[in-house]
Amino acid sequence: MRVLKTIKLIWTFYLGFLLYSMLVTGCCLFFFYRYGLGVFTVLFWFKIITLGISYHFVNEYKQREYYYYRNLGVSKFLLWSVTLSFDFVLFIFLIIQAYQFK
Amino acid sequence: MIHTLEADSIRLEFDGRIILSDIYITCETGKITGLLGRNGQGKSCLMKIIYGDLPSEKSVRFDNVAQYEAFKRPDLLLYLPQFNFIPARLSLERIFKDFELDYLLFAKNFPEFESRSRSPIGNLSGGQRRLVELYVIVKSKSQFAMLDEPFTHLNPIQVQQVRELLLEEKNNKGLLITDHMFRHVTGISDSLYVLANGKTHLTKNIGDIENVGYARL
Repeated sequence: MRVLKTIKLIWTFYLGFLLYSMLVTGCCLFFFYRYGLGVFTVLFWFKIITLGISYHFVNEYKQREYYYYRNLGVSKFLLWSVTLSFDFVLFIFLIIQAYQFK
Repeated sequence: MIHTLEADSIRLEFDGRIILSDIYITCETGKITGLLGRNGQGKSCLMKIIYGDLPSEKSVRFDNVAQYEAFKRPDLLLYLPQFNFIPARLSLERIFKDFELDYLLFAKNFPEFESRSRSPIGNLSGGQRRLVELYVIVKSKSQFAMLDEPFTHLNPIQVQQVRELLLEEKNNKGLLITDHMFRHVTGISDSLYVLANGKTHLTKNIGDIENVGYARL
């Protein structure tokens, strides 16, 4: 029950930058599908940098919301470690799918 | 069983200027502790230090056990910051579910919210939003709650309702409150500290807050 609640809270936090992140992933998939493995390194670092930008902007404009999650027992570290890991793993998974599909 | 929260040995400097240097504050469950101080005296900083959000030299203890990052223990301490902290898109229903509180009971005590359970909190007025934030912090299970400016943005009727809520809820936890509306704070506090020149002064009577230069009564 406690785990489900934590996952739900992390998902709520992730929704705050999900659209932007999916847009970036979508662009990466498009270029990967079009130009192939040769652009993977560029797309890899592009994704890493945009995740860094997400972190910066959320810290800048939504830092007050951390108190909501903290009061519910979810730390800033947990929010970021889970969302960034999930987002990046999803990116890699979709790239692999695109490679196989191609 | 009575629980205690103590904070001392706190030192905070900004650009060589000492903000907090000689602090001792203690709270007990079953009591409301008031903290007064002029703007810039460090009341909010002190709360953030106790919460573990602002790094500084300190000793913060719950029942004599040191706790440097109290924000990791919502069962010990909850914190209402002076700004809106609940994501604006969340509905009241969702917020109360997250805090494991009964929305119907809340709506019974505050009828203006009866038909608002599905409203995002961002759609409420400033006073209503503050009231919801205050309520979930005060009513959630925890040994202590720190409230930074709980009366700000509230209308006189809401202030009265909040005073009653705090007096009722002190039976379940210890409350540390700071607000510039000092008469509301002094009216419900069991013990009162004034923060002046980086030091906490425990007042013995209401006249002491004038003696330390906080207010003219």
